[in-house]
Amino acid sequence: MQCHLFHLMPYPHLPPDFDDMKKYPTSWVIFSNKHYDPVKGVEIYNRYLDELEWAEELGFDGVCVNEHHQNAYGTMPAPNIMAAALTRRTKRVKILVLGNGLPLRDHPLRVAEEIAMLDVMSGGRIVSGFVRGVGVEYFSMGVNPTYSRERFAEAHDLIIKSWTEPGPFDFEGKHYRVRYVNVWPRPLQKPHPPIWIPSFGSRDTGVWCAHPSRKYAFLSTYLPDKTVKGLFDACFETARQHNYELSPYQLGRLMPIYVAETDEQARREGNQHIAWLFHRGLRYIPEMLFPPGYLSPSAALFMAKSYHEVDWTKLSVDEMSEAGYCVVGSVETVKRRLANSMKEMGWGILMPLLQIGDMPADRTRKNMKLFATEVMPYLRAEFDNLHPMMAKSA
Amino acid sequence: MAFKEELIDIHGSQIQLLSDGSGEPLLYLHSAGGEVAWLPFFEMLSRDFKVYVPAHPGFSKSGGLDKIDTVHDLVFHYTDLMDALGLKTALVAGLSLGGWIAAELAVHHPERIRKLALMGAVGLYWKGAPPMPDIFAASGPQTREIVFFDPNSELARMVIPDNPTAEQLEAVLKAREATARVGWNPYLYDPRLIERLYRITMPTLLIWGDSDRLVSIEYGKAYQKGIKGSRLMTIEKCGHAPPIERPEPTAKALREFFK
Repeated sequence: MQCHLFHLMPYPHLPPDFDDMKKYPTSWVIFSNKHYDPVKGVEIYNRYLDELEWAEELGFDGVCVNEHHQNAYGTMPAPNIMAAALTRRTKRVKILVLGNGLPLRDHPLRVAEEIAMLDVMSGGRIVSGFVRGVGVEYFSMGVNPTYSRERFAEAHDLIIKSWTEPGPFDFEGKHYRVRYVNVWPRPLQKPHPPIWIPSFGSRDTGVWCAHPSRKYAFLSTYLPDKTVKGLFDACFETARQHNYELSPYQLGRLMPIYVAETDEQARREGNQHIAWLFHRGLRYIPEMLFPPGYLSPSAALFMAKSYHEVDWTKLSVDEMSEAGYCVVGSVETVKRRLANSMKEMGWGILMPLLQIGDMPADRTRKNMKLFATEVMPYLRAEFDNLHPMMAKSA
Repeated sequence: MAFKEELIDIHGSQIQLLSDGSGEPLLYLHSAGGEVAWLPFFEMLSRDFKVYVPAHPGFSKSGGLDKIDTVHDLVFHYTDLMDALGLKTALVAGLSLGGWIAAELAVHHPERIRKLALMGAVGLYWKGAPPMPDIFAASGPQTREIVFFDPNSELARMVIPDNPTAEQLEAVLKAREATARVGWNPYLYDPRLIERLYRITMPTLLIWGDSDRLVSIEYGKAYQKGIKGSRLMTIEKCGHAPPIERPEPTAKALREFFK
């Protein structure tokens, strides 16, 4: 099993009346940046980087950063900058950028260049995630969301080609046209850094990742067990249709996890921070979360019908924990829940989010330590039992 | 109501077209709301004119959004559509997004429009005017507030229902996408249009609701300033959509102007 610590770098210092949903309908885009205090920012950025660096010592396989714009949920608009900081302060762990929002960028070659730089700087420790960005981010950056899917596909093709074919060559797309594609430096890993795709419940994305020409890891975020199972089953089915066996390392789960001495203590200590994440950090205006054309017509209709599943503001933390959006409990409970999920769904990558919402430093470290010393070794052993052929390849 | 509904092929795009009446051809270009239904307003006009109501590419039952990137592609489309209908010239009326398209069509092909009516037209960036609210970020109830003089009227609730049917929802999703395709950024305007308005030489009437909260009357004044000889009139107790909220006085004004 691979276990990579996920971090969002949230901005925890929200106004005291932030639960007034009329006054603060969302923590994104229209939530004024006057609420961001850069003096506090100095402290939290450095604290969060310390947490990511400590993950190496605790035995995690990798550390994850990600891109989000104009919000309190995650203050990493430029994830490659955080990844750059980590290349110099870690030696062993993978650094996973999950991911760069390709359609949101003016030019995909900037992503190709920056990831190649990071790969060389880190000695080949980079995993390159590609995302379309959250729908609201099309409001932030002014990019036309009706081209989101097209731009993603075209940017992806251009980046892969720029990493794998000798330059210079010309690229004539609909959205990007370059006479001289010739990326310096080239990435260290061959044929290129692994591509992982975080997704928010899109079956189409899962099928696309599982195609034998790509075999990209497909990562589910913030979804209940039954939805994740359906998505992963679609990936296995795609592999079967193409006559190959899907590896557990093609499926990953991102989950907020809080582990403590007892179930009761875990709930008492952890629930408030998970509530911050889902009820404050992920507080969206639906029309902004799904801007025009962001989803395909069929996906948009489906989402309109199943919006309640992602309207976290209406779910309690206990309900979410029960359904598998997150895991909260004693060492035994967390071990059992995750081992069952691994067994039933076939994934081999876990990305625990252990600093959650406004969780302070001491509690974060306690959570990280308990997870790394008690839960992670158990899951690794369980994984090796399930997949003896892969036992040494993690 | 014996209006005709058909799908016509415009160079590979299937376009939904409603039509009825007799007399001089009148091409109506609809708003971002996608009012492609035989409204009382069209019925009133069809007594004096042959009224054509096509759905823009990507709206309602029309395809062809894949051929549209900017408002200028819509100008090509409507030139082709007029050719397909055998209309050498026509009276052209447009509401909001449709008003913008009509203004661009008039700039490109002044010889094909005999008279032009722009109602609550977007299309201009005007520093002196209040910025338009973001319709792409608005919920249904917020949209009602923005669009209607009386957002609580039965009419407003029928046009923008709180709980749309699956069919209505699909139409809304299509309309949002097709509008955003040409109007996301710049937000519902063409930076070059204002300096090209001098090309509009046919008689032009500008109709604004007196309480338009989406496209304020200042935009109407900007069009009036740019289009020589144009006249700006307001419809009382009316929001952004005169043909929908106040069909009688709006149809009357159009009839008098077009005849």
